[in-house]
Amino acid sequence: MTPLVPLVPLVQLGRPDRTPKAMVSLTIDGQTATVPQGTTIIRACESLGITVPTLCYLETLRPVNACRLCVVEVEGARVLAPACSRAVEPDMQVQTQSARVKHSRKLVLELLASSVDLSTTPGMPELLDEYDCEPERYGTPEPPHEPGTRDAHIPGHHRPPNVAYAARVAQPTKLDNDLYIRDYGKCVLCYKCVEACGPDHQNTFAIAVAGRGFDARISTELAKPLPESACVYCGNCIAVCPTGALMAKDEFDMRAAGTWNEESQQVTDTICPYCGVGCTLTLHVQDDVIVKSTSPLENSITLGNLCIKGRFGWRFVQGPNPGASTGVSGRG
Amino acid sequence: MGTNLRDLLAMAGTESVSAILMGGAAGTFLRADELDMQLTLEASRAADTTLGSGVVMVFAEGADLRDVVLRIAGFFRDESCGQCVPCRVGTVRQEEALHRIVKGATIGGTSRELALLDEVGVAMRDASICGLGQTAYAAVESAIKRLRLFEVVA
Repeated sequence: MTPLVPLVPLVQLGRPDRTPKAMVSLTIDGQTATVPQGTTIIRACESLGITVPTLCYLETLRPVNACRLCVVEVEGARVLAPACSRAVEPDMQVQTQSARVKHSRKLVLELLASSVDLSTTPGMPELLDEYDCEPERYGTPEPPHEPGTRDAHIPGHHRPPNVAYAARVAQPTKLDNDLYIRDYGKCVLCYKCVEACGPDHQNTFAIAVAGRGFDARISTELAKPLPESACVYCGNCIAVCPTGALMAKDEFDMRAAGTWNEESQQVTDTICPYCGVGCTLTLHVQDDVIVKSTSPLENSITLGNLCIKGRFGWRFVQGPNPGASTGVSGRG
Repeated sequence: MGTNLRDLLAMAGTESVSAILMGGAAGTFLRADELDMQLTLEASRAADTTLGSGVVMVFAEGADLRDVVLRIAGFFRDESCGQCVPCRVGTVRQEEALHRIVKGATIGGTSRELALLDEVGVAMRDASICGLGQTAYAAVESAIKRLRLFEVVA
C-alpha cells in the first residue's frame, strides 16, 4: 500500500529530487497544475503562485502537519487536508479559499493567538488581520505560569478550568546559558526544533515534546537546564523556530534594550572560516557589528544548518572581547 | 443489529430515560423521543447519530446531563495528545466555554457562548489530525442542538 505521505529518505530532505517522475494534473482554485508525482499540495500551489499560510512547514524538514494552518479543501474528502504533507493525486480538486478552509484557518490562528504570545512571529499581524481574528473573544488571558510549573509532570485527576480566564502557556523566559534563550510562552509546538535537533538534521536529540494535550511542551530530558542536557549549541533549533520562542541571546538582549533594528541590518554571505566543510554563513550586520549568523535554507551544504562555531563563534571578528569564545563553559 | 432502541432498553429493564449517549464520548446524545431508531449503521447514519463503540448509555430522568457534558469536555481536553492546534487548544476552549455557561459566568451571554462553541467545534472536526479531535465536539454539539441542554430559559 502506498502511504499517503511519501516517505522521503532523510538524505533527500531539502535537496532536489532528480528521480524521473510521472506528471500529475490537478485543479487548484480553478487553475490546472501539472506537477511530478509525489509533489505535496503546497508545492503544487507554489507552482501556480498561490500562497498557503503555514507555521510548522519548512522545506528542509519532514512535514509534521501539526499546526493545521495550511489546510485546504479536497473535493470528496470528509475533512480538510494539510497542504504541507498531502501528496497530489490525478484530477484532485483543491480549494484553498473556501469558506470551510477560511473558517479553520481563522480558528487555528485565534486558538494560537489566545494561548501563545505571537508578538515576534513574522507575518502574524497581517495573518490575524487577513482572517479577521479576534483572539480576545476567548476570555481574559490567564496570568503567566510560575517558573517551572509548566515543566512539571502533574499527576492525578482532571482539573476543571478557571472560568475567569482563557488558559495560555505564558511563562518566564528560560535564561540558562550564554548563547540562546527559550521563551516557551511563544511556542506553538510546531515540532521544527525537535526535528532539527533530532532525526532531520543534528541527530543530537537534546529536546523532545513532553506531556500531553495543552500541557505538551518542548523539554530537555527531565526538564534539565540546557547546559546539563545533550545540547551541542548548534542553534539549528533557533534557525527553524517560526515564532522567536528560540532566539540568540544577543538578539534577545538587543530587543530588550530596544536596539534591535532588523530594517537597518545588512546581510552578507561568506564562507565559515573554521573547518573545511565550507558552510555558507549569512552575517547580519547592524551598525558595523555582526549581530547574528545564519545560513541559507537553500544552501546545498548546510540546508540552513550550522554548528556552534558558525552560529556563535564569530565574536572574535569584532576584536578583543572577553566573550569572544563560544561562551559556554564546560562544552567543546 | 436491527433491534430498535426501544426494544433494547426494554430488554435491559430501563424504566426512565432522559437522554441516551450513543457510541461513547465521541458519539451523540439522543432524546427520549428518538427510541424508534433501528440499531444499524444505516439507520443511525440516517438519524444523524452513530453506533460508535457500540455503547448505549442511558441517563435516567433527573440525571445531571450538564455535568455529564462537562465531564465529556474534560475527557477530550485530557485525551488530546497535543499534536495539532485545533484539538490541543480547541478542547480547552470548549471546556472553558461550557464551564462558563454552567457556572453563569458567560462572556456576552449563553447564545454567544453557544455560537463560539460551534465555531470551535467545526474547526476541530474539519482540521484536526485524528478522529479524537474530529469528534471532540460531537456529544457537546448534540447536547446543545438535540437536547437543547443549554437553552436560555425565557
